[in-house]
Amino acid sequence: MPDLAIEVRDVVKHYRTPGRGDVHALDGVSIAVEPGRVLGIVGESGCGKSTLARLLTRLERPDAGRIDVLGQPLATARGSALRQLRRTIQLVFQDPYASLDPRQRVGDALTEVLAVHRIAESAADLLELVGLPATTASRYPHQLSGGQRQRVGIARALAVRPKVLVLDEPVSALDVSVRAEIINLLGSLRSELALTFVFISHDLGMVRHLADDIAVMYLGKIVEYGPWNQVSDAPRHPYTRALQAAVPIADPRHDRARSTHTVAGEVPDAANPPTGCRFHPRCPLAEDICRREEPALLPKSGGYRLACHVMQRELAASDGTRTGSGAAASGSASTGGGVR
Amino acid sequence: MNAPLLQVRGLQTAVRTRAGELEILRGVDLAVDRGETLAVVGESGSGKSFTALSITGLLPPDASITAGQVLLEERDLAAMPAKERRTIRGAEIGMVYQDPMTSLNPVMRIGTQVAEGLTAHGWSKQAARARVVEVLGEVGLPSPERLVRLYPHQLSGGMRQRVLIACAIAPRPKALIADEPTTALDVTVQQQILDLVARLRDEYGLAVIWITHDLGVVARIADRVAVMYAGRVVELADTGTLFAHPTHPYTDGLLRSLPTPDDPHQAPLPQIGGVPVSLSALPSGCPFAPRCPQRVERCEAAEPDLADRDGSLAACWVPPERWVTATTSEAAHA
Repeated sequence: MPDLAIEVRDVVKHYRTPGRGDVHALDGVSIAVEPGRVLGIVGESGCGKSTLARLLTRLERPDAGRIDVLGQPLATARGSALRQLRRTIQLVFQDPYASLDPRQRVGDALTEVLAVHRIAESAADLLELVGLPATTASRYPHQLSGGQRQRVGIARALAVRPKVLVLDEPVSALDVSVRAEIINLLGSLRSELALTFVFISHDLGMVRHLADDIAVMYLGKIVEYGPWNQVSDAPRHPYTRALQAAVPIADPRHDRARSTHTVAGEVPDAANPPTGCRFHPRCPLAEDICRREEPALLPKSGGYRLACHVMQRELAASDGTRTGSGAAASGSASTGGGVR
Repeated sequence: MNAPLLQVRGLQTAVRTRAGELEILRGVDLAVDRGETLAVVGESGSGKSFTALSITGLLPPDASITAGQVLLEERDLAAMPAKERRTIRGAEIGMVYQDPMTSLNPVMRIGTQVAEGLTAHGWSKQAARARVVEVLGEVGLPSPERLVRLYPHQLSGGMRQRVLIACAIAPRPKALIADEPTTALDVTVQQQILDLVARLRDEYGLAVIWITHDLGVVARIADRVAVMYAGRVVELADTGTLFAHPTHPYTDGLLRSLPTPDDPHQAPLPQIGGVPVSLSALPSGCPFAPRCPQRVERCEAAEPDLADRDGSLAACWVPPERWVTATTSEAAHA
């Protein structure tokens, strides 16, 4: 077993669009997921999270960089090696209604996948695996509820016995009352089948609940990355903080206790990203250096990474204070207070 | 005490289908007063959007109000001729919808679109032009004088939603009906729009009805909440009370199913079992009964009406003190 289920290194993906220039969907993104772990990816529109899902499942290839799945290079794989890899990593879509053929019975859709890949398993087994009765096989997608359809979508992804599932907003299109059961199903499948998940969502609350690690993306870059509790509950990047403050919590005691800090403006055009730090035009902490120089995603302790000039300096200063070794960054402690 | 600005009483709305008449709203009761935000929350098929459309008189042609009242300052809009109702819609009740791209005319300048709603209600062209610039500023759009000459595609999603809000409040309405206006927006932009509507509500003394499926948004903006299920309001309460002490098992189940910062990490979430109800196949009795952990015999026999529960209103035969401890997380799906 390789050390990593997924390793993405410095992946770049630009889309050429007529009249608008190159859309920088991904600009140097690196992630690593150990087998059996859940990586949550959060971000708003244009951050590149869905492009990453498409690259991870080889629906598209990166312009540059490397993607390894279970130690095998995905971007350059061909022929039977590619077929093998494609079975290893499967995508579950947001809207199972759009990804199922409306004129095909559920059972036929699953049997087709099994036959193509010559897998000796029945559609009924797959349905049972995702908690659906065997009678579902004779139904058409429109005869199912949203939750049942998403179970079918998951069953289809599992048909080829993958090791990794890429889940692109798997519950966002579902009614609130069925989201929990799909999340619970994913959780139990993960432990039963020893799956690795990349869970993509705009919903920080859901990601926080499910993920071991969280990567926060903004305009084609990862801005903060690390263990779930550090990123979700004690974020340092001003964008993660804004995101955390903006996501409403369904509990007024929690929600109204938080400062309703609003960041101004909207995500800029990915065809023309801002110079320096891409978040600087909206950032309450922005300084001169943020307009000029793009901050690198620098590793800190415990697998935590951060791309922010101001907060990196502060982190260095507080580390320095704690260890007593050269605390040079003076005057930076006051700048952090304005965010929350 | 004066009656609330806008009251909906016993509202029933039906759609004609090939299989006959389908009741979408089966007796909706709610009220909202000046300066107050009422959130109407529900899932698909609950009737929350039809409630908004019935109030504003914008039902699709195959749907109509079959019973009940929509009272704006005690005038019944449901009983009014369509022509008279049109003079009230827009002028006295403003509306904002989900998708700012499809609600704006792509080939009409921003200024013309906002002005249209004013001149249609008798504003002179000159007065309308001044008001347009003023209201675009009020909704937080930069350089309104320049903006009036732009087209919708030249604006971002958040700016387009601001333009729609400007259209809605330009005639200085008394009430604002907002149907999922932030669902298509990014969360940081959603936050800006929530702040904006709260400010306008206070400045204008607007009565706001905010339709949403998102309980997080409800917690953030609403003074009171109406929870809908299968075409009726099943719980009506102050926001703080609803979240702290839900008195309908459906509300209770919804709130438990959402991950909060207090929940243990990666532990199973309590889930409501079963399948959302279909309006074309309603069970007899309470429509939530087949999914309800608190179900008793009576629930299958008769549908309960909204009744007082320590200041909240709930349509449930079983009061919370008689609820069995929720075991919904173990009672997993079949």
